Amino acid sequence: MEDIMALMRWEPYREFGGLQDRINRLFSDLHGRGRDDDDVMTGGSWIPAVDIYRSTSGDIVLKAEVPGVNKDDLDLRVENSTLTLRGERRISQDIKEEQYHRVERAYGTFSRSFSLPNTVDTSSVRADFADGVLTVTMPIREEQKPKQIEVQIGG
Amino acid sequence: MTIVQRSGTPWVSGATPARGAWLPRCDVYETAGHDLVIEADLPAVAREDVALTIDDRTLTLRATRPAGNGSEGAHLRSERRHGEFARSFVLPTTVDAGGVRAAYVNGVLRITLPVKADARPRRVPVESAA
Repeated sequence: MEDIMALMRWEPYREFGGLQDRINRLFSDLHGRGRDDDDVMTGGSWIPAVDIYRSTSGDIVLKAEVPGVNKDDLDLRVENSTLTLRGERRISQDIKEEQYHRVERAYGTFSRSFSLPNTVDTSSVRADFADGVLTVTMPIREEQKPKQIEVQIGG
Repeated sequence: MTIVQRSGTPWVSGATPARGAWLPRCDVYETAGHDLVIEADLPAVAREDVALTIDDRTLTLRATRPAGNGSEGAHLRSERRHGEFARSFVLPTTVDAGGVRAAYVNGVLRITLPVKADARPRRVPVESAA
């Protein structure tokens, strides 16, 4: 028999129970959000937390928390000015559902897209993955040097 | 694939609320061999910033994650949480608290509590009356 009283005393559980609601709301709000949100699109079963900041050297750095995700299950793409991070956290195949006493962590696929400022040099983007955090470093484009254009004179 | 959120069972329902703004999620499950495993999402936490203590039958997990690493300038987006975290679990009497093991892989801390040998489920032979 479950001890219901103990469950209600722990307030943070209200946050976990409402996670699916929050995700659903995110989907429905997606087109209506007028905030300065860089998210173009969010999809999947869970939304990894992301920090984006300017490093002191001027690069833009994105850090995404994806603990328990294998490197092979991560997909990072930069297309035009959009950075898309996709991936999947797989649940262990060895443990059956009835063996779980508590499940708080999110599993399944995730997908987040971010608009990048056009000052990012997308060809120099690099990514590191350590301790469950994916760090994407995006250098700012150097000033383009003026190009020499050879003028052919037709005759 | 979605996992149905499951409420606490009597075994670990004695968990106390965590302090601080950061609340890593934990899964608790039993292995096929009836060991108890707690898996906590602790990405980018240094080993020296994690403290695991067992007092009687209460296991307490504490961790600290500082806000920045010094090379951070202006934040454009800030969703990750920081600070101190503490969470306790009341362990069932079937586990051998002294045999606790912890491993940190890929940002996940896995705490394994082996089941006591005499608490393992076993078949009881039924003898017929002579």
